[in-house]
Amino acid sequence: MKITRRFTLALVLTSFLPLTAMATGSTSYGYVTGTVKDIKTTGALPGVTITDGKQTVTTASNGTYTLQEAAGSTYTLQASSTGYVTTWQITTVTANVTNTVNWALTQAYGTQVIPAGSMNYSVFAWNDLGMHCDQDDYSYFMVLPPYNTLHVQVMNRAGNALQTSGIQVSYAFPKKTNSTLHTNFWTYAPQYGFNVAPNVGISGTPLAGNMALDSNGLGFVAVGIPITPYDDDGTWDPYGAANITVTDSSSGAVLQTASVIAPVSTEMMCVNCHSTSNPQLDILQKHDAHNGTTLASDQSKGIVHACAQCHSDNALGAPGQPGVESLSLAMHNFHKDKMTYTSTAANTTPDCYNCHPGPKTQCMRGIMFRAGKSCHDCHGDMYGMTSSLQGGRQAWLQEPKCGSCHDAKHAENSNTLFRNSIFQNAPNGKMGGKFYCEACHNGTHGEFTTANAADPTIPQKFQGDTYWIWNCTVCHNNKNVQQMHH
Amino acid sequence: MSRLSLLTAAAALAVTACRGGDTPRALLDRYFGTAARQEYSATYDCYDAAYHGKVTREEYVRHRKEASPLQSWRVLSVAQQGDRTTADVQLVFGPLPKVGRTTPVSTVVHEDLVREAGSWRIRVW
Repeated sequence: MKITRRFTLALVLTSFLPLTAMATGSTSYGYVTGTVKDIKTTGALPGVTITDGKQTVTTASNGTYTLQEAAGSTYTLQASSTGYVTTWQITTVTANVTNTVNWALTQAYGTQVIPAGSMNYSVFAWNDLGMHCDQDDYSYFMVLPPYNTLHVQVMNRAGNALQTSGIQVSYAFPKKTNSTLHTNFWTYAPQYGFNVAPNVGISGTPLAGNMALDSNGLGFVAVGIPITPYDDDGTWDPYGAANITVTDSSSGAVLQTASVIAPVSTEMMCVNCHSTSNPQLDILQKHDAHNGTTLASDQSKGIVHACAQCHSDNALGAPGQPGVESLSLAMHNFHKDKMTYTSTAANTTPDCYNCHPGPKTQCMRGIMFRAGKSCHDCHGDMYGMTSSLQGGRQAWLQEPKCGSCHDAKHAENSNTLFRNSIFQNAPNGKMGGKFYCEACHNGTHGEFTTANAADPTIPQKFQGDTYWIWNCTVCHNNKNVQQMHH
Repeated sequence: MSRLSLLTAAAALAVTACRGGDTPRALLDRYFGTAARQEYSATYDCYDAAYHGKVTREEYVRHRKEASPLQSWRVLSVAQQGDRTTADVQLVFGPLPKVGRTTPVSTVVHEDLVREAGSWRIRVW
């Protein structure tokens, strides 16, 4: 009993210590707490060192830790443990507020022989987004056309240099050679304002061809490839593989090949709420009822409209009509209180997957998803999306920043989206300004290591694992050091 | 239903479903045969474990119905190397009003097959 009383007294005193400090001193405090887990097993990790550079704690047997920090500052926390890749996160501490900073550590790199070590060229290829949206049917309206964008960078390992001249880079989808077999986009494309030939995308890009040098002169790009989630034989294949071929411009000799996934999905689950026998018509009728439009009537006469005809859409560079909300704002604003409209919608997690692809194809499947983050952690919920857009944020052009959570050396370039950012802070200055972040980390939402076994074709071929590109030998003949690039 | 009818039905099911122990050519025939009969659940059985791990039967059937209906197929070539096989197959898809196509269309597709636990399967990724 005496022991219990003493323990209780100690607890009470401990609880009041910060308050006492605040009452008597000039420094106020906040707390950072969280749990550290293994990203693969999801098991709690005890004994992990968490440090802000000045003070250090070790996780308890259940993987938890707590740090007391002076308020009003932003801290870069580091989590390290033998057998795991050291990881950093930032957090800003407010007085009397407890921030939760959880960690999901990735097991340390392997010691495998790096396959690229015996190659003259390495190829980095990626789709610019983790998933592109497509529609099964364009006979009622168009949200987005078929439009995947592939990037490639070529490293001359023997020459120790990024190669952008003297080579030709081509792409082809062996299982997706004719999109017109299974989609009606080209039947309606002229009505949507795109006078393009069958199997040619709205930017003039075909299903196979040569890639162009990108605007930064660092790599090659094919913008707006009109693939669909259907292979030629009818297989539903949202992770279509493109063959990338690098040839010598002079001799035509093949220098290197690689395969890269171009994810595209029609899994926009309008049917979760518009669950009539014809969801698309239901959408048009409801739009007409709410806005006084004549979309359903027009459709019955064979006249179809793109959403971007009235709603501005930065994804398409469409200006829309004056006084009409942007498509992104209209969709989030109107639907923000309807995510529990049906039990199916209410049970769809995250709720974003009621409209964005999707519960099965998983736009978000990268390492942040594996670490337990959801769409909301970066984008906010429907109300947050709405308010940010109403506040003037430009959808597609102003998106969440890596640097909001990650330390400065892992942040994207200033005023630049992650997908356009270029690696700047290498230990060796010669590497700065050469490679896109996505070349090593893969596209937004599908960052390595992803939860989808189809994704890591590039690291598997050149590095022998499914991690982001981390090994110097992938690019360099004369570097055998295994180290972090940042 | 007579015992003979039951046996016949069971035999038909056994022939329809993708099973182990057969040849790449037999798998191709079942894969495209079930698709042509729009028995898409049986077509789904012909894919490998990686595909089954990512795409459920229900999803597959739902999406396959959105694609063009297969009318006929003709295997042009089959090349086996160990546990991998490649094949070129000519397909004829029927009319699809949705895409404004009123006549059949022909195309040649390339298929990759893999042997899993002794059974040949269609490999997508």
